[in-house]
Amino acid sequence: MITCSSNRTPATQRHGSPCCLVNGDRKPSATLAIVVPCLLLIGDAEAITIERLVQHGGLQIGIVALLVLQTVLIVVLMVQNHRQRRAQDEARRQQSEVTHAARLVLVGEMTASIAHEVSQPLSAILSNADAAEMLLCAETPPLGEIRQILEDIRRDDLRANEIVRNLRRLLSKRELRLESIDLNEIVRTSLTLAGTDATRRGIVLRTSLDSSLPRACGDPVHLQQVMLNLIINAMDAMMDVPVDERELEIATRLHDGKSVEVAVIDTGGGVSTDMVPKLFDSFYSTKRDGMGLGLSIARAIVQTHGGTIWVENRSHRGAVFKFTVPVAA
Amino acid sequence: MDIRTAPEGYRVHVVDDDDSFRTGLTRVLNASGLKAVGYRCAGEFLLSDAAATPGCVVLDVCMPGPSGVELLDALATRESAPPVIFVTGCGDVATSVHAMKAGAVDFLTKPVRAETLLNSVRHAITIDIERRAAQRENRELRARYASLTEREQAVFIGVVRGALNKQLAVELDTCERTIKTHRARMMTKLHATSLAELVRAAKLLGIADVEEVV
Repeated sequence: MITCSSNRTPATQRHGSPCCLVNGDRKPSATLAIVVPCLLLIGDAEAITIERLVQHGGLQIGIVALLVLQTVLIVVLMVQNHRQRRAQDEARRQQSEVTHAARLVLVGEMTASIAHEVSQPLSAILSNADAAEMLLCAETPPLGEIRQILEDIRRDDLRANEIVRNLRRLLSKRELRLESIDLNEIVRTSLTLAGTDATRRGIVLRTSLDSSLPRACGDPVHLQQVMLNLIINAMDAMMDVPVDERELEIATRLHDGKSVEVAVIDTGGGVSTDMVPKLFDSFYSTKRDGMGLGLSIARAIVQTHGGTIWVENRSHRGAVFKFTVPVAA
Repeated sequence: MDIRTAPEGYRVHVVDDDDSFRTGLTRVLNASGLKAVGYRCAGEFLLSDAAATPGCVVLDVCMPGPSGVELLDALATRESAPPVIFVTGCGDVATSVHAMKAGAVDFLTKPVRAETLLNSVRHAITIDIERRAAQRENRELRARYASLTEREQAVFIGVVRGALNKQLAVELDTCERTIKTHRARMMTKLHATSLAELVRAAKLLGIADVEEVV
């Protein structure tokens, strides 16, 4: 992910090679640019008379030797470049696999909540259909009401569909694809999925979303993964405080001119100062059955977007996890 | 019970935070001839003073703010609270056990078929009608008991205990004839025509030692 940037690093810097012509660009045109003048040189050399050939024999051999050396060097560099690229692709693929696996675990943790969110509109559809059927049995069926019922059925169907679509997208294996996104929308979708869980745990949800928030440049699925991770962490952190004090707030705002910020604010026990440096490390977890991957993956995702993620303690109670994502160009 | 013969003023109170589902349930109940009212949360229901009106409550378990179980617990402390039917989408065993122990009439899981819901609601309304009738009877009985003189109350307790008139006369230091007069007046005031009815009244009133007699 982060290693992508090294692609742009000139090969000379990477290998310390004196061959400044080989710039690490893998385009064949670059190679041609070197080979063609050399061939022209050889062509010129053929034009030279036999007498002068003896004179220039040493020079010719030197040039040929140089060319051969250069070709070998180019080939070696290209092979090396190819290997490096393959390694980078592999690293990216593995990172993507890990991110995807973590996303699966995340969704797994929320299964009950998601199932409830899907079954809710489906139950409403059933009741509405039953009611419509009963109303149709009347001597003069109230058509206006039945029409309203059908409208509600359609709306609930779309609602259930939207949740399933979002879920499928969340479960799909995908590489990071940056696009122009509305972070407020991502917050809202995440809360839809986690909402039931919050209600079940007696947590009051609040949002303070900046309606004038500019669109950000990010991957909606990956950022939703970060959101869900922070939301679940925040909810877990509040399990030890009394029920009537459990509040989860999500706020969005313009961080600076170049990025937008999302804050996940809880009223849990907060983060002790010695934990802060390790919090985003892999395999570090304060949860009893935590894998310690959630926050490290969240950080990797945010950093790949060119943003930052950090934690602050609130003055009286709880912690705030914040991350930024660059504004879309 | 035929729901169409349900007494005037009976309401089915639907408490669910999901607008679509609440509307759906209310529609089914209204379409079946019942009068249903929807409430978005436990607080709204409690504030409406609907808890004191006859009927039953169809209650969602998971709601923001006080949960369905908490509302049931609050209702259980009231004398004339309507019976509660739970409808839940996320009911676990622990919740259902708690709900049934706290006095829920039924525990339905979403999605709810209209027939299941209506059967359950009818059953709950029947329970409420019976419960209210019993409460009314109890109130009336208490009023009648309160109208007895001290002597008549003593005779009542004595008779229920199984004492003979003669024994009571000795106990209360009077003649048998006076006891007979007290006994007759006491039975008229309590609207009782037999000893069995007196015993039942004593049991309803929760008068001590009656259990032993019964």
